[in-house]
Amino acid sequence: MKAKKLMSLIMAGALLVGALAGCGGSGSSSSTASEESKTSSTAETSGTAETAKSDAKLTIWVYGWEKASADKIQEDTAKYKEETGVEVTVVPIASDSYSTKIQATLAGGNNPDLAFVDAGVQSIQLAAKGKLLPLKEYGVEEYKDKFYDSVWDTMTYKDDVYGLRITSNNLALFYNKEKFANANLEEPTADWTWDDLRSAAKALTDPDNNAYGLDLPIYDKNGGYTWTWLPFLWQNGGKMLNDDRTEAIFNSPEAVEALEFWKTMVQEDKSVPLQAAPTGVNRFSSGITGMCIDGPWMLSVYLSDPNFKDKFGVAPLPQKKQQATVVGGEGVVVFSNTKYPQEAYDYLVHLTCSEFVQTFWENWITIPPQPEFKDFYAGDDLYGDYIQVFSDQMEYSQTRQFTPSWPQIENTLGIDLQAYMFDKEDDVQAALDKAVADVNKILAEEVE
Amino acid sequence: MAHNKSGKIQRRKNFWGYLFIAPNFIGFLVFMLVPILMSLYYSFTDYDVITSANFVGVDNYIKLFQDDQFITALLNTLWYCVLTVPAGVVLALLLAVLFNRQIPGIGVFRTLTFIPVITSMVAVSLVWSMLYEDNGGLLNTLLGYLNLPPVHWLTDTNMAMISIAIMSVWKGLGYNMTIFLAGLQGVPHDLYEAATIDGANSVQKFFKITVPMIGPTTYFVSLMSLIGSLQVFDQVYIMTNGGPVDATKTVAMYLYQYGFQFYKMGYACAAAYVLFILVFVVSLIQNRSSKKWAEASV
Repeated sequence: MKAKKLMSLIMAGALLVGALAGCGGSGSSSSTASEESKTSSTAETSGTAETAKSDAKLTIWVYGWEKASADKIQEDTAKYKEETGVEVTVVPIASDSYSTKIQATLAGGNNPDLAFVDAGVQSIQLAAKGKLLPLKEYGVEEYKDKFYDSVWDTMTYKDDVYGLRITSNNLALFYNKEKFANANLEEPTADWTWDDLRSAAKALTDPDNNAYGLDLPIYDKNGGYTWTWLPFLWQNGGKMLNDDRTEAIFNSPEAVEALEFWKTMVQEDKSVPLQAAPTGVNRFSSGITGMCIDGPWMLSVYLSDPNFKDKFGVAPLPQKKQQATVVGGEGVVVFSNTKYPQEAYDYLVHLTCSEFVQTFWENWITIPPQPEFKDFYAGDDLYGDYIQVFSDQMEYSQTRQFTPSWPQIENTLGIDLQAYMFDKEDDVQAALDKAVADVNKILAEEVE
Repeated sequence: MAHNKSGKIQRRKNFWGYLFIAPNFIGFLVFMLVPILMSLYYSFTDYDVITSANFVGVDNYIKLFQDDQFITALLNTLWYCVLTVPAGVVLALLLAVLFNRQIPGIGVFRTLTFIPVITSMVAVSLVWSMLYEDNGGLLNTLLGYLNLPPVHWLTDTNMAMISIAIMSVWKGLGYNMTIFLAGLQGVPHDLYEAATIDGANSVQKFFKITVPMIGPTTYFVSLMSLIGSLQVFDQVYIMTNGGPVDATKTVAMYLYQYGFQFYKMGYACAAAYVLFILVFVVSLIQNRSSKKWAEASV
């Protein structure tokens, strides 16, 4: 009898464990989170005795791989507590699955109060699901003029604002000075047009010696494709979606021309390598490609390479009808289930719009998202000149037209355009029409 | 009285028995059965991981079969099976027959063939990606020496799946071969002796004795290969990520994307159940068709 009872107890226990496993994703990630926070929270346990002005306790997740800047946020919390009484716990998460972790903690409801997110890509999706605190009623719009429009746009959804931007970046043209000199080519300038790009790429191409003019992510389907192609669409005066973002309109003549331009370089000139570089090989710094289109995050990589640091230059993207580049970067959001919305909002403003943000930028090389600080790095011996090119581009930068299913849209568009690039679909108009139809299908589902 | 006592002992014995299987059983319950049932439920909802799931009936399944990409993924998966299963089974059998003899150093050959099996798929995929590299990859360099044009192993929409299949067959060969070896060693030697006396040559012996005698082994190997092939994911994810275009997008790749990149978990669960049903039906068909063959030879 006893055995049976015990057995049923075990069974009940097993069921309980099973039930708990239902929220397994959140449980496990919160335990790793608390482990990760252990190191950071020990630093601030001293000095908690004084009388607090507010007894709010906030937790913020930051990108852990940018350690220097995460440390600055951490250091700043002591001072912030002194001034406001709000105790902030900084949790640096260094993981490729950062956004999945956020998703998982949200599912379990034990998410932090604030977090860094990929601006637009993740913020709009979370906003659409009602997971972010709408900030209009806290008066966030007084900061609108501080930011570039393209940057501000990434944190807005429908009629509200869901966060503030802390970093930004865009794409520019990296080129190999040595290769340009060897080929007797003039280095790219701000006036460069598509034709200049194409002829230089052609001149630098020598397939027999494994040398190519330009690297384009024609193989990449995880957004890299869309993200690099959109500036070309915009330079030619085209648009991806209508203003309400309810319909795709990139099968216009402008888009046709932009896509054909790529294809000509890929299939006709063969000045763009067709395959993704193998793991661990950077085709640009290893001298295979003479130019590439990339963001400011590559600067530290190239500048720390003793063999390459003097060999490259950065120029604005070439223009067609107009100049354009695409803006990316990080924002900070407040989650709607926070216990202290006002305090969280105040801290968000402190983090992104007070003087502190300058300390942050000193430690995370980025493009300041605020025009006021356009020349923030001008005095920097190492980065100054390079960053300035990106910073000057911000004026005419554009945002991707984010919607809640952006990752899916980006992926679908990438595949359809790739089909054309890889000669699976020969007719450019048909390729774009199909892509438009596919994207429209996703947009229609959003409305449901 | 005596009866009662033995019952008690039996129960005590049962208790310990249950206790010993409990860890495994609890593990199965928590990590297999509950998630399997939950994903079945989610496949009928619009679950997106962060907000609560709403029941949507069979909408997900209808949408699946209206999606060109899913149909492409299904066809790609079947194409991969066609490429890998027969080739994998036949090559493994030939290799096993070759290695099923006592010659010096045979252990070395067997071991070498088995090494890819114990190597992680991630490592193998990365190394093969390098071999397949368009420019400067080993295979194209070799072709260059022979004055042959380079092959776009992973960047040609028609070639990419074949390239992945070649690698997968190579990687799985050792496993299948080992099972065949075990099967071969179970074939009674006197059958071959008798056949030799009757004047059968080795080809005849292979088709008249070996093949029928290892029927059950062949059945097991091909079924396992088929199930594995239907679920192919790792190598695709690492080597091509479903591309170029969607030439190597398999069902597993498709559902991973929807579940973990687009957060359409309900929809992804539906795709997973379609895959499950596919595996189930295919196994059933194979089971039926092989039964006679397997039974006849036992």
